Amino acid sequence: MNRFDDIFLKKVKEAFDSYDAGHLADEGWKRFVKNRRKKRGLTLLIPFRAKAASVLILLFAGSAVLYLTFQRQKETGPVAVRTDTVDMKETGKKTTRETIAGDRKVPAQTATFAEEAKSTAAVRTDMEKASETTAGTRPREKAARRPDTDRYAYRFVPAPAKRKGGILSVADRKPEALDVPETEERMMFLPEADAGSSGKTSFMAGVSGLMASVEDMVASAPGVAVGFYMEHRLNRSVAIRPGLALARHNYSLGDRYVGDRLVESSHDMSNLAGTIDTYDSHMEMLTMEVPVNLLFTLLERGGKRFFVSAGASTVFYLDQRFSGSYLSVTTRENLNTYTGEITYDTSYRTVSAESDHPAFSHVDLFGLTNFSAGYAFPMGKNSFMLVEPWVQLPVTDLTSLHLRMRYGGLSVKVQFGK
Amino acid sequence: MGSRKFSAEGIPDQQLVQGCLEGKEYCQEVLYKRYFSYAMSVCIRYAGNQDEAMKAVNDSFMKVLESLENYDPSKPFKPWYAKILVNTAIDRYRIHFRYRSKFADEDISEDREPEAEMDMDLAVNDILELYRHLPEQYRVTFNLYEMDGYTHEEIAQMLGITVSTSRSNLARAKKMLRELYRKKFESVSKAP
Repeated sequence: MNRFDDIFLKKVKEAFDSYDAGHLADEGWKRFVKNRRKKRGLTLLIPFRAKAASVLILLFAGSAVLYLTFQRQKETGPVAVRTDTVDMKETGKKTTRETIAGDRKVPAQTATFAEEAKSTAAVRTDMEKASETTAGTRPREKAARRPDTDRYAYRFVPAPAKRKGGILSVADRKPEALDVPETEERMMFLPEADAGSSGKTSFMAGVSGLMASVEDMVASAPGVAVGFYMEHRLNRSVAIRPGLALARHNYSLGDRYVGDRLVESSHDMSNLAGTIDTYDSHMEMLTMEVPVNLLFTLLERGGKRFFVSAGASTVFYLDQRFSGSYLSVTTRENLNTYTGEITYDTSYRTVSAESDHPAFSHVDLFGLTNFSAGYAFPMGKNSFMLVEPWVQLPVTDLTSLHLRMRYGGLSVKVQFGK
Repeated sequence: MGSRKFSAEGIPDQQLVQGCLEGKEYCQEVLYKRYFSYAMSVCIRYAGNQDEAMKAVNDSFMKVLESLENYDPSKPFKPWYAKILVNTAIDRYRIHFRYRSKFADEDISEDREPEAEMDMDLAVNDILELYRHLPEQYRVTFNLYEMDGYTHEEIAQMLGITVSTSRSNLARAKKMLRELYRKKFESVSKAP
């Protein structure tokens, strides 16, 4: 090290050691507190791991609820016929009858209406006994015994026409054998649940205006998304809502982060020397988003309801275009071989770079967590209007440039069906 | 908060650290302000301007609060904080300036240099003015090696470059600083 360097270094150290920024401490602390509150709010609400965990939990819970729902529907649907032997007191004969749970087929009958009517209780009791004793008992029968399954109440169905094979029909019955009122027709065991199941699923279409924040910078222009969703009510207050949305993003950013990543991704810029001084970045994206959200109805009154939802979205990128223009500052050294003198030239250059990515070149699998709160109110006879502010927070870095993006917006949806 | 007056002169660092661990904002504020000037003096060397330096200081203090549990109270706080400051500054450098400068890696022969005289004091702003003309990687290497005492091996690891590049960057940084100083200040110092 030569003498100049020694002295220079000593003076630089002295200068920085005596650097006093005390007058900025208050301002610094204010900024620190402000940033921390912002960060803490988000971190407490959903730190990165919690976000990932919540997505998993939601998916698991959603899958479990769906599985249980489908299982239950299976059980209440057409099931195999079970044969019960009922001891008929009136005839003193053993009668074989087919008990059909929820089947549309009317079974063969070997008992009179009166016998059937009278033996309803016996059948039920018998079913209970059978359900306890028969191997492979179907949960359907258990459901029949549960007090909360009123919708599986037995109801009357019209009698079939005279059947072949010598089986007695209504006309063949003797009046004296009918010691029950005429209204008490033959009883079949049909669940009433089927009638209500179609009302649990509804469809909706919506449009959203959205803003994006890329890294720590809010985009200056909004994006737009249109989507179609299906809402399936799992119970009175919980519903699952998968969907498909197309979103157009068109943002102008003066953000250096985007610039850096664009520089890395662009061959045009790889030979650039020097320091990039200013940035002007632009991004356009067309994305297809598949959200799966769980909705929780908080308050429902008179057809109006407040709800919140949470879930995750997978994003497929149909088109990604990033462009930027950068002011590059390059310092070059020139050595004069005769005099040994070195001079430095600083040049400024504006460089443009573009980065296009083809469709489906990148997928962010469950890359976004969704949170929303909404208000739904009736609009027309059988439709609802939903106004729903929402935010989407990243679980991972998004897009082909691996940007930390957040979205927020307001969606307006029309729901068809209740 | 804000321009609150503190009577915290006598409180030792360890006590403040304990208070921070207990979540006392008062202790955090005192600790922050106690080392603010020092932290700025470190970060401004890497960031190049006050605003970026303040962001780096705030980032680093956030890291301090997050990792205070790992701090050994039997050791002085300042060197531990200094390490976090430098690491934070380097992290920001990595994020902001990922691409590599393409200056040639030719050897620098020091004897070709005309000897410059160094006879005036430098203020921080003067140095920053000189720094501003240095390529980012040169400046970071110079700071890490000369100011913060890291070895070339450590610098190479931190910046993801080779040891020889680190050496070369340092030599070039020095050469440029000499030349820049000569250009900028010699005429001033020789003026009547």
